Amino acid sequence: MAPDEGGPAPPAVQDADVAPLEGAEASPEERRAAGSPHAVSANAALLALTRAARSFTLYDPSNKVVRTLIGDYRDKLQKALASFGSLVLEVHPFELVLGREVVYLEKDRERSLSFRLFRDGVRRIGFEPGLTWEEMLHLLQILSIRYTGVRQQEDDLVTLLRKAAFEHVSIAAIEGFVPEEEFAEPPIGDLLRGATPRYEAPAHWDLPLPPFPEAVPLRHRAVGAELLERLRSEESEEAVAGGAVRAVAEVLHAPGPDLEAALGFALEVREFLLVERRVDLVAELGRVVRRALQARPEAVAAFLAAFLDAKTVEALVRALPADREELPAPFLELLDAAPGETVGRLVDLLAGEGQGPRAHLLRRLVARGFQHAPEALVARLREARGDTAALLLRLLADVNAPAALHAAVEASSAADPELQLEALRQLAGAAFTPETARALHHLVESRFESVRVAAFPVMASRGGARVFPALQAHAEKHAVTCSAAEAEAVGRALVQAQAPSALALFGSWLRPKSGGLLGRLMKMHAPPPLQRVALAGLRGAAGAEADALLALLAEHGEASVAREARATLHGRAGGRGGPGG
Amino acid sequence: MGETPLTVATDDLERAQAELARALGRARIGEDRALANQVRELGERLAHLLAGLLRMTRLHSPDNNAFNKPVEDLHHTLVQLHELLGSVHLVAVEDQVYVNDIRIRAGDKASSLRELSAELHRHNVGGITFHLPLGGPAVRALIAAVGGPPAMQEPRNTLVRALQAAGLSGLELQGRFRFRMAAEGEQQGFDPGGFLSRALAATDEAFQNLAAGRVPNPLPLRRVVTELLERGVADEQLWADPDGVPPHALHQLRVAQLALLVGRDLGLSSNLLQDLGVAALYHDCGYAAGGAASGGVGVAFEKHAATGARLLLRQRGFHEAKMRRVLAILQHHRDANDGLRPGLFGRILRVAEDYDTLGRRSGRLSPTLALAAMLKWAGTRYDAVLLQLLVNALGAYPPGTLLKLEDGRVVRSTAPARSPETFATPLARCLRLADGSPAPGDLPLVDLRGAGPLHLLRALP
Repeated sequence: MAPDEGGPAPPAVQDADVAPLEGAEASPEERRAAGSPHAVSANAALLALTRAARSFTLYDPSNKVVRTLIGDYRDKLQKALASFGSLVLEVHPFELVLGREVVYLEKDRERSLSFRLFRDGVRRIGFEPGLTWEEMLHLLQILSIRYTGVRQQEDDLVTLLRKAAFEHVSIAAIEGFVPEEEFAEPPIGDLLRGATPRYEAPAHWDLPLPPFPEAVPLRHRAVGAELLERLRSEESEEAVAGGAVRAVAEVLHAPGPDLEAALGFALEVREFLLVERRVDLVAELGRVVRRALQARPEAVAAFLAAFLDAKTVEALVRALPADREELPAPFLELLDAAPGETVGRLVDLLAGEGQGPRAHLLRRLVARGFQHAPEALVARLREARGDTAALLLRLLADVNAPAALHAAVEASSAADPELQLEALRQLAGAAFTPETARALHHLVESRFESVRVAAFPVMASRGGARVFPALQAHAEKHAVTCSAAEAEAVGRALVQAQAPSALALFGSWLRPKSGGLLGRLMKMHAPPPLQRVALAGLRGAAGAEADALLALLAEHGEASVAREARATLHGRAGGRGGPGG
Repeated sequence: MGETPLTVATDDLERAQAELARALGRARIGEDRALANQVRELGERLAHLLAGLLRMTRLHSPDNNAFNKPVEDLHHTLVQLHELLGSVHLVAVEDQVYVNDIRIRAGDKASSLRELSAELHRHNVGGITFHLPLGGPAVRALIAAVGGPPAMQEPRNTLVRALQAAGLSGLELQGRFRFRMAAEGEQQGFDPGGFLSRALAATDEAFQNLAAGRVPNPLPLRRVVTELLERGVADEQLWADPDGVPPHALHQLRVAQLALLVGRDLGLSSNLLQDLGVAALYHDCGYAAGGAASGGVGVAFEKHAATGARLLLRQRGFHEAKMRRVLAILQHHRDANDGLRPGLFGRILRVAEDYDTLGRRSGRLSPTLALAAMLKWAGTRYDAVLLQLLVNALGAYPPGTLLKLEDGRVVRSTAPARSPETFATPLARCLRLADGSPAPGDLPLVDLRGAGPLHLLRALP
């Protein structure tokens, strides 16, 4: 028997979810079969069926490899039926036999299609021409379930095959045991059974019936097809999800409910709704349970904690259109009743979303969620880092401004630049108090330059003259080591805080201190970094003293500083209409 | 033959893939993997321990200390299985061994299972049912007897008597089995008596297990329903009232038959018919909550629907069949025109249940008059369409109706209506000859077409 050379080539790796086909390939034993054209074709079809059914044990169901294998199965089986007609196979433990030819052989129980069928009681399987795609799919579905080892309490392979009601697939299967007549012995009664404990239903169960005083003659009346269809539609596939939610409601409202069992059932229904992608009904289910347990808030809280797990919260959010302004009422009710962990899950989603399309929606949801529990937001903020932390602080300001200010003060000493910048943003709008002053001081002393550069103007504008000494001390301490950008920022801040003091300070830096020979020889007192600080400040200062100091820098400053000072003076002269103008 | 054009539409494949993924997702959430694994492991342990003990009898007497540990292990295994399943059915058929319908994996112990089968088959025994866990001495006695030489005549009966003399109880020995294939009934003649016996036993066992506090196991009942659907519901013996059967089990089965008549004529799919049948076999299970496991306090009528639903919720994992039967059981006594309108299954069960209770159990009315009395409530207590479907299916003289023919013979209607044309002329079994003497049991069924006017009887004269 030739190997299956007609099988699909492994797809080119284009997506991360595409995996190599090894493991899905036929083993040498699987390929071995008798040699007639019909057998070859049957072998190809069976290998394709096996690969497709096993693919779910190897790959995620959404993987493109699975799709390829499903297509191959369809092609091969259709080809076999079209070319040779009926395909009737006898099922042995490790072989499938067509007539007298072995068309499939695999002794590895994990891989073997024939073993799976035989184990589950199938002894013959036949495919007829006219086999529809839906039937092929249904058969594949049944075998895939068995291959993945799912063992359900409701069904076995035979009941699944019966349910399918195939028209073009015939199955001969074991449906139980019957006495072997050849070895029958005369009955002697249950001598060994003994008195095993039994429970009998009450003697008059379901009695008495309500009265039936009258009767109507019996007649055969045909029932119209439309009426029948209307009744059938009550149990359609589409009705199952709604029925499941209703079942939970009825169980909860039944007399003497077993709450643990009922809520366990509700969680099972949730799993079903998520599999079916009926997220709309997930929210409705939560609402149903909450309403049924209105009088037991602790039970509701415990249920919601389990109900709104990470997977469910994500599914609920993803089902909402990103740009939707008005959110569904059941969803909002659920969110408003949700425990703190739920909002934490929303925060996780928000952090993951970054600048994605759902960011705005998630911010709204988080803000709403924390309205009822701002302390939970503070707690979460303390654990967060980076952009998420900054985001949470911003959200806290929307929810509870005093709490946000307090959190901003705390955050001013955090070792997190994004968070410090957000704290700065909040402090910029706050009243200048000893608390906020300390916070701003932390920020100008931050180990992150971006934070320091942003903090100087805020400190100056909020604190004014009160913060001038601190700014001066910072400049004089750090000017030598700070960058040009920072130097300029602190220079501008000094002028912003108190211009006269700044000019005096700049003068003390720039003009020589002594009048003797040394004083005549040293034309510029300040080192270049301080010159730069002064230059930045002087650019924002007006008046003769500022001009004089600029001129000093232009004449005696470090080369780049001098150049910029001259440019500044030139710009000012041009603005006044020329020198002396 | 030419080749068919092979086109693979990507949309079709993507849809197929999504449907398969969904089906697998559904299957997974329906699992109770812990329970399934436990049952399988314990069943395998039972089979291998039994095989091992029997093998040891070749070398030692069963009262040898070498048997102490494995005997104790077997006892504990039976205790655990009994807690989970109730009666434990070990069956050796052809070259396979099953414990409660779960096939025991042989793996590298295949020879052990073959030996077990051989040991049992020597005594013409095909299976052992342990209704109770055997204690240590009883296990030894069982091993000694089975390990001993078989009798020449009636080996199984001889073994049974020997075990009874040794004081054993709480078990049964079954005869040899063979596999029953689904298509057999059509080829070899369906044995309705055998089916009825199996169906009643399965239904009763399900009820007893619920009463004992066990997790519901719907699969055996689903197999009963599958077989019933396969065979059809028209056979006379399926509608006879066998003697000595638990009345509750018979009622559950009868309601299932009636519900499936309605469901069949409604055109429900095989899938839904199976689910309907299983729901019917469980519909009054709420009364089991009065068992010892619930403190022995009987369940009142008003509460049995709710308690039934609670019992069924012990089964873990979501399955739409479970959901349907929980809902149906909660609703099966609700009026069709109730403000909380019951679902389709609930309304079908109401019709089926009240008919069986009124027309058979209560003895108040004959089947014909029971239907006629119910028809007065069509559209209120009962869904009018579903009730009419039942009327159409059962006929003017439903099974069990006593009739007197013009010639004086007394007959009993044996099966549902064959067709609209024979709505009022069913097949019947003659009970009294024209002279009033009892009719022989082997008379052919009477086709009442052309039998002239029929007179309804309340009881046999």
